[in-house]
Amino acid sequence: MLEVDKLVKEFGQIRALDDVSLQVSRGEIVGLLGPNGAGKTTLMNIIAGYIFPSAGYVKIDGLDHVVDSKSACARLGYLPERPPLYDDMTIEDYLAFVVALKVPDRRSQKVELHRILDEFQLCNVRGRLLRNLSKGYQQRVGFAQALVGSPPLLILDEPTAGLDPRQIREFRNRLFKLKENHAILFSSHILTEVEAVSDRVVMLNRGRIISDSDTALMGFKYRVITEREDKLTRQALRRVPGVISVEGTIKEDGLFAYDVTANIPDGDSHSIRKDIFFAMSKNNQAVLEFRPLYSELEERFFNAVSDQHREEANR
Amino acid sequence: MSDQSFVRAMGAIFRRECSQWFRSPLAWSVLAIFAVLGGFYLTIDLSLYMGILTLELKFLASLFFIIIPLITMRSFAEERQLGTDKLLFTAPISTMSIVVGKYAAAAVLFLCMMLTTIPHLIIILSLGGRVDKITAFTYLNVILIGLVYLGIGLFISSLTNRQTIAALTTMVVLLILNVLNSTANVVGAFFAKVIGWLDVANLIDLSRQTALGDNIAAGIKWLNPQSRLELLSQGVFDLTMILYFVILIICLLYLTVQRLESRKWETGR
Repeated sequence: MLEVDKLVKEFGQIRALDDVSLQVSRGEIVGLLGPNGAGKTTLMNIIAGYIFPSAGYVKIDGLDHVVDSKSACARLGYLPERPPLYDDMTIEDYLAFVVALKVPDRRSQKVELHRILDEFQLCNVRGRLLRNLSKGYQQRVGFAQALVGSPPLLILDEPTAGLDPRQIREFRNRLFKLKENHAILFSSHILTEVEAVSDRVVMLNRGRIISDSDTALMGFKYRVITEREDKLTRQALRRVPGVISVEGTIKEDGLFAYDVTANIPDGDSHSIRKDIFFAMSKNNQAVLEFRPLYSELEERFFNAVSDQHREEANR
Repeated sequence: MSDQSFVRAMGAIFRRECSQWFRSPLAWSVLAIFAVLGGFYLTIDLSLYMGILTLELKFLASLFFIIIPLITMRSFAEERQLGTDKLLFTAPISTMSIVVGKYAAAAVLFLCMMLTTIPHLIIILSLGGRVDKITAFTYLNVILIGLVYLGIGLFISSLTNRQTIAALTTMVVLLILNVLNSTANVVGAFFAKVIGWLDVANLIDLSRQTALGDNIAAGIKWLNPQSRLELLSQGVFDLTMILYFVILIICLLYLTVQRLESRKWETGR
């Protein structure tokens, strides 16, 4: 659905994007993760056709923005970081305007407007001015405009920024529902958000992709603290399905810490935590503390950010 | 099919712009100021000249350099400032349809402004004032000038992100156009003088220096669209004049489209 190849974007002396390549298929949610200034918004603006790249290309369903912008734009819905809302319009007028821009058939426009209002539960507030809406509702209307015309590709830039936990959950559920028929690329700098929603995470730092991996294959690290080291326990932990490695260290207070790295398919950590606990109890090891340390994604993200800070400090 | 989508998109932009205009206090303020100034001039006109509408129209046209920038300043500058241009420029529509839609809406507001002078026309008619072919041609003259100025304002709005900069730049450009004819002779004479000073060996005779100054003045006047309408004010209708203005407006809209398209390739933040 989306094919980005060797994309470069230069702003004067600054190379905002450098040799960026990625693909997103229908039925896939790809999270774009990176610190501020990593180039996420620039990449999304290029994919959406708002700006053109200095080199490389973006193809949506095989269509290039530079060659056939209108056809490429017809296949995508874009929610920028700041929803593009005219605050003097009502929700209904605004969405009717977007429908008029995106839906060619005049007869289908009314149906589409009702579908969108209905789908986003905006019917009851359709007459309210956009400027009077809460951040959550504004984001919802912004998301609704991106879905007008049911484009197969959705580009969402920081869609959960400023939302409360209930709204974030609502957004996640909506995304899972949409996943079936759409290819979705969304950006965030909230790690847990990306981990919870994405099938794949593309990490961007200083305009370069530093990692592109399946979230299901990413490791999580747990720390299990016991009174003493035991070889059998270590072996038992290694045998737990999903465990990649087990490292042991003696802590300052004399207690022993096992750092267990494991893959958690489908993001369900419940069974692996149970297995780790039983592996310990079978070997008569009293678990004094058992807590998640961090995910591999988190580790990569912080490594990237700290590298960046270090280099900036050296300069 | 593409013509249909152009009209559809243009219509949507036009309707949105119009509804925004007539919901905002700015449009009503512009209309009110225009009507009040027109009414004020009419009162003076009636007391002094026994009603000649052409003078009022020319007076109102001289105010376009203040009023037109207020109409065009927000066209693109505001969209960019608010980020709503991302909706327009990532929608499956052509940039030309956006530009034409916005221009048409601004033109409608401008024509509404001109409509406020119709009651004056009726008053002058009822008082037996002069309303003839020249009055009709002056209307045409003023409307054509206003439409060209809207094109200039729209283009300038596409150059910046800030409404105030767009308004001030348009004001300066329109002011220069307003005074171009009256300053052309001065500028021409100045150049003729400069050449006279530089010609210490007296190689160029005085008549040639004067002719050069006249040519410079004529060149400056030629640049000004207003000078094309002098004949129209005298009651002479020429279709090429209208054509000239139509082409000029199309060129300005085309330039605006090119400017907006070129933004996509920009390498500066």
